[in-house]
Amino acid sequence: MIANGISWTTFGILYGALAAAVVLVYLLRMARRGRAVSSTLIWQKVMGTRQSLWKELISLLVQLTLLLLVCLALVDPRPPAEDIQRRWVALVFDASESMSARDGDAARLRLAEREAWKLVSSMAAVDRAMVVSASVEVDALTPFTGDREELKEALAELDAKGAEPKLGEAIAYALGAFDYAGLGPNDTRHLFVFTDRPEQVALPESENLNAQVVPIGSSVANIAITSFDVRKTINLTASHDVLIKVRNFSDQPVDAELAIFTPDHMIGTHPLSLPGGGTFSKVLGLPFGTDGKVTALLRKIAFADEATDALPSDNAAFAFVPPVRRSRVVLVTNKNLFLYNALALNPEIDLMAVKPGEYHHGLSAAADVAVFDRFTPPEQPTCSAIYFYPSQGGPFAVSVVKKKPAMTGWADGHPVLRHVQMDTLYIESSKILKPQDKDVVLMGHYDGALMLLRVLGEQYLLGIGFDLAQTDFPLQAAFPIFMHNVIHVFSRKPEGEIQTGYRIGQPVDLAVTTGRERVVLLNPLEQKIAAPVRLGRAVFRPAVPGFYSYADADAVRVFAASLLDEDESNLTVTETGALTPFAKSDENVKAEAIRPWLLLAALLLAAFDMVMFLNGKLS
Amino acid sequence: MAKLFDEEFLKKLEYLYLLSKKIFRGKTQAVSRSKKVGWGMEFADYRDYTPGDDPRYLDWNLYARVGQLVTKLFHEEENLNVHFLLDVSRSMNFGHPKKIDYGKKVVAALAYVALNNLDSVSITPFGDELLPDLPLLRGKGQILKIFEYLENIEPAGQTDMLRAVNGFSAKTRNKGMLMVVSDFWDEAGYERALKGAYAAGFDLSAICLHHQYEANPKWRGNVVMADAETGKRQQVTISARTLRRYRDHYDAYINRLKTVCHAAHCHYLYAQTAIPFEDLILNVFRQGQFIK
Repeated sequence: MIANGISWTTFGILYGALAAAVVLVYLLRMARRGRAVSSTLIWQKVMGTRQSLWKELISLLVQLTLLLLVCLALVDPRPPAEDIQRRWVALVFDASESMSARDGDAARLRLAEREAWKLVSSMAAVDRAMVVSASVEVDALTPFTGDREELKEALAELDAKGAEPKLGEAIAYALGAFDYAGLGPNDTRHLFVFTDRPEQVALPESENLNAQVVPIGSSVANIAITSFDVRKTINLTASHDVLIKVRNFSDQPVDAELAIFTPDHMIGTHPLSLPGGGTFSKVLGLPFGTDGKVTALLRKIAFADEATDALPSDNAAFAFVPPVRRSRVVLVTNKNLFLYNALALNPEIDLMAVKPGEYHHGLSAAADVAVFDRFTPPEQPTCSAIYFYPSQGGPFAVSVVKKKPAMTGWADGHPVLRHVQMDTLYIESSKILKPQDKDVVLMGHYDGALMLLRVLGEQYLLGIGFDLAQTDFPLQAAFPIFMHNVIHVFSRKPEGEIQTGYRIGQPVDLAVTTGRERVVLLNPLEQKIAAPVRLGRAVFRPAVPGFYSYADADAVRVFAASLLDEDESNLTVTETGALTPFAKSDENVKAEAIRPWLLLAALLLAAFDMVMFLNGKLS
Repeated sequence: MAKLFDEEFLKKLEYLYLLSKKIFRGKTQAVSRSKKVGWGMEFADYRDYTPGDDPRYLDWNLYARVGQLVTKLFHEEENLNVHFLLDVSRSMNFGHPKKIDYGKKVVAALAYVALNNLDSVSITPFGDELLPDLPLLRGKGQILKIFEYLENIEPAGQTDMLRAVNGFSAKTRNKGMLMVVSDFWDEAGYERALKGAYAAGFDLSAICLHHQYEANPKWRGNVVMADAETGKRQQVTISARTLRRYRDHYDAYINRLKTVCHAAHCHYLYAQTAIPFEDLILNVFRQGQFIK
C-alpha cells in the first residue's frame, strides 16, 4: 500500500503522539483526586461489580482504535500506483458568445455541460478531471479532481462571453496540466474539446493522448449587426456618420427593422428585407449634435421559415459619441461679411464679432481663436490667432505691399489646407511675411511668405499677407473649408475616427486618476463591478453588450461594448458527433474505496462508544 | 449560632412544644403530661371527696345534679427528658449548607422549644463512638450553653449508630424522648440501633438530613467518588441511565429507613438541607407531628 495523503512516517509520528496523549490522559484520569461524597453506599449498589478495570481498558482500546482509523484515513492508503489505471480527463469548453445561442431547448453551453456531465458520471472514482473555459482568456475552473460535486459546480459556472475563443491556448494549458499532474505508468490522458466550431479546432497529436472534439449544437437561424462604426463626418459640420452592417446568417429570407436611437430620441428606422445570407450595409448620417449613448437595434425579426433568432446579443450594437465642443472665436473686423459668414455659419463655432475699436486684450483670454482682419492689436493675444493683412508691430515682420504677388508653392496636405485647392487663387496685392526659423510657410513667395504658420507651444499664429478684399479667395468654395480647418486645428479637436465602442471580451483601458486602487463600474445590468488598478492602469473586459459607466475624478465616464463579430454570429455547425461515455472499472473503484471505509468504521466505532457510554457500559 | 435565631423566630418557637408518643414519669412539675395523677390542667378522673382535698377541685355542677361531693383529678404535668443524638461523622460534613451545621440548628431549635416548656435537654454527639455529651439541662436560660456547646462540635469519625445507641441506652437512666439527627449513611446498618433504642424504652424520633445532590446528583461523565467516611474510591461513569438507577436505589434506601422507623414506633422525618430552616421547624416538623 502506498500513502496518498500524509506519509507513513508522518502517520507513525502523528499516531504515536496522539496515542501517547490519549494514554496520558487516561492515566491522569485514573490518578485524579476523587470527588468527595457523603457516602458511596448507593453508588456501590448502582454500579455493582461491573465497574471494573476491564471497562476502563476497553474504553482506552476503543479510543486508540478510533484514533488509528482516523490517522489511517489521513494516510489514504492505496494499492501501489502500478496497480491503478487512472484516467486523466481535460474538459475544454468554447465559452465564446456563440455558445450562448439558444439551440433547441437550451443554450449551447448548457448542451455542452450536459454532454460533459455524462462523461464525468461515467468516470471511475480513481479518475480525475479538470474543467477549462476558453473565451477571450483561458480560465481553469477546477484543477484535476475526482470530486464530482466540484466538477458539477464548475460546469454550471461556465459562462459565454466575447469573441475569438482562445481554444488553442486552452488546449496547450490542458496538455501542460497533464505534465504536472504526476501521471502513473498505466494512466491515460483524455482531452475533450466542446465547441460549436469543431472545424476550427486543431487537436494535438501526442502519444498516450485520446483527444476528441465534441461538436455542440446544430445550425440555427440568426441575423446580426456585424458592424457599427461611428466617425466624424468629413464635412464642415460637427455631425457624425455611422457605418452599419447587418447580415442574415440563415439560409432563409428575413424581414426586420433596424432602429437607431438615443435614450431621448429616435434617430431613424430602416426596414430590412434580406435574402438568405444577405447583407445590408450603409453609412448613415447622425443628425448634427447627436452625442452620448447611441443604440442600433434589430427588431421585428421574422424569418421565412418562422425560425427564432437564436442569438439576441448580436441584435443590438452600442456606441458612445463624445459631446461636440464648440470653438469660441473672436472676430475683429470692420464688417467683412465674407469672413463673418464663413465663421457664423459654421455650427461648430461660437462667434463673437467686434470692431477694432471695441477689442481689448481680455476678449482673447476667453476665446480659443482670435481672427484679426486688417487689424493688428498692440498686445499679442493669449489664444491662437489669425492675422489677415497684418501690420508692423504684430508677431509677424511684414514688407511692403506687392502687386499681384507670385505664389511659389503651397503646403498641400497640411491640416490647415486640407481639402483646399490654392492653385487657382488670385491675389491682387499682398504684404510679404518674413518667416522665422521654425515657421511653416503655407504659401510661399520669392521674398518670403504669403501665408505663415507659427507654433509657440500651445499657441498657433497664422499670418496671411493679403487682404480678403484684394483676392477672390472668399468667393471660392474652399474658403469656408479653409476657415473650418484653421479653427479646427487651432482648437485642438480630435479628428477622423473616434473610439465610440468596444467589442465584448476585449480589454478596455480605463482612465484612472492617480492613487486609486480600483475602479467601480456599473454594467448594463446595473451591477457594480470592481476593476483593480495595477501600475496605474485599470483594464476591464466587458462581458455584456451595452453601456458601462464609472466615476473618475469629478467626471462620469461612459463607454459602449457590442458583440460585432461575424464568426460569433454565424451559428452554422458543420459537423456533428456523439460522445461515448467511459466504461466503468470496478477494480479501480475498490482501490479508491479504502479511505471512505476507514472513515465509516471510525464513525461507527465512535457511535458505538457513545451509545455504550450513555448506557454506562463504558467510561 | 445564637445570632442565627432572630428574636422573631425565637418568639415563634416559644409557642411550640414537643410531642411525645409515650408518657414518662418526671421529677419536677412542668407542662408535659406525666403518669402521675394530681393537680394539673388535663382532666383524669373523679374520686369521692375526702376531708383535706382542695375545695377548688370540687365539681360543683355534679354536686348540684346528684347531691354528692366529688373531687376532679388531673394528670400532673411534669418535666420531659429530651435527648438528642447528633451524628457528627464525616459524612455530615458535606454540602452547602453542611448537613452537620443544618443538624446543629435543628437540635438547637428543638432544644429551645423543650427548654421553653420546662423540659430537660441533653445532647450527645456520636460518630463511631459516643463523644463527650452535654448532660441534662433545664430552664430557658440554659439555651446559650447549648448554643455554645453545639458550636464547638467538629465532624469526626465514621458512623456507627448501633454502638452509639447501645452506649447511650446503657448510660441513660432517665428515659424520655430520643431524637436521632443523622444522614443514616451507616455501612453497618441502622436498623438494629433504632430497634434497640425503642426496646430500651425511649420515645424515638429519627430526623434524616440529606443534601439535594445526594437525592439527585448533577454530575455527568466519568467521576471518581471518594467516600467521606471510609475513604473508599468508586469510579463511576454517570450517564442518564446510571442516574435513573441511582435514584431508584436512593428511593429504596429512604423507603427502607421509613419502614424501619415505623417498625420501631419511631417518628420519622426526612428533610433536605435546601429547605429553608424556618420552614423546616415551623411547617415540616409540625406536619410530621414532632411539635405542636
